[in-house]
Amino acid sequence: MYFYEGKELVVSDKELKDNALKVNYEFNEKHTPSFEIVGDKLLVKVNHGMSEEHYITAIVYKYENGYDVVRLNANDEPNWEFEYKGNGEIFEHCNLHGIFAIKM
Amino acid sequence: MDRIERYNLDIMQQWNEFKQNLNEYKSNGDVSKVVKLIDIIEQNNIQPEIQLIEGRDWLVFHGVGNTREIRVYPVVTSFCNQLVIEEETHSKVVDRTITSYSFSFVMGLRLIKESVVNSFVSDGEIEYMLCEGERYFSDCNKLGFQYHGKKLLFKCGKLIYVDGRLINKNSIYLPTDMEVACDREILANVDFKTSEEEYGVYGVHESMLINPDTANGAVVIYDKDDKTSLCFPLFYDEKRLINVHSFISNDLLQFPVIAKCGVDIQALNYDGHSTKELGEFLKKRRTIAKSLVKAEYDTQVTEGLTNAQMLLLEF
Repeated sequence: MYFYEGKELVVSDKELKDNALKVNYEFNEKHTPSFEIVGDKLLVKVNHGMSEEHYITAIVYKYENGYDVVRLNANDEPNWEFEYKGNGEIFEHCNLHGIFAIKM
Repeated sequence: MDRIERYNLDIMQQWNEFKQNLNEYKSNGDVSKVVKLIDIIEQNNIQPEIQLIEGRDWLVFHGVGNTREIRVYPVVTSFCNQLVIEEETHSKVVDRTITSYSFSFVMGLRLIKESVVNSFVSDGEIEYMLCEGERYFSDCNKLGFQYHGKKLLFKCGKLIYVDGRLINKNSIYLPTDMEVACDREILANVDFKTSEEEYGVYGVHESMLINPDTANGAVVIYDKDDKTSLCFPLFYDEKRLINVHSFISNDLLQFPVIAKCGVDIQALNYDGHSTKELGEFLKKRRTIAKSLVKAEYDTQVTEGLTNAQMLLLEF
């Protein structure tokens, strides 16, 4: 797994090698992250199932000058509570379907 | 929350720019040493971006020159062969940038793999492409050292130090027992700026080098105002205290003092992004050392002792 420098991506070796990288901003019920700002917290959820074969591998919160990345396992819930650092973008990576994002 | 990895875009961008500069320089000139170093970094899977995750125990930096600063952050707590290299570029001169890098990289890599640096040793000396030397080291562009009890040589302008022996009255003097204290991992840097007219205006120059394997290292501070250079060899003890041996020498007062003190590096809240606290700490130590030096110097001079003699003072 790479956090590909300079790009808002969390990708696998294969994806990186294949250069098949694309961020999907179109709404997808199962993949597009949803978020809620509660006080100083940013609550991110992905309406996606989690199994060994098909799961969300990472959630990335991009803010003005950096990224917070949390990598998930198949037995994790596909949501995370970040420290809110201003508006930006939220990305998630599905091991089968790629990267989905939403702008805050 | 501890699973969060945090990446700083500014630093990542700097790192990318740095690599881009390197590539440009590769195509324009002979930078075999630089290329080699970079290759080594990459071959060893040193990924600076990855190492910028917060919450680790970043410790030290290596600053070079007044036009930029390159910081090398060994991960001391895990003693692993990892470096973080942060660039703060204030110059667009590629040559200068590259040569500073080469210097820092040699010094930094030397800390993690002696064989790396050995590959740059020829005839017992390491030659650095010190573009900074055009200004800093106008009389000589060499800076060398060797390892494990071998001779340590700085040959830059007025300063030459060899194997514990003071060669020049303006030299920084690294005594033998300091080598022992540093597990013979003498790491030193020097500034030889003797006047603003000659060398331009400089602030306090700070350099720190740490061996991740032994957690030993040294820090050097130069202050243009009083033309004082200090070298603080550092080493960890079992309680994670850094013992600081410092000594001082300057143009007017050629009397080195070794001062011993302790500081918990954690107490410095040293986050790896600022040298201010450490600098302040060292300045205080210098002030104390200077007063001690002066007092002892006056005393010793009256007794006819030479400036090669040292005092061991306990803070």
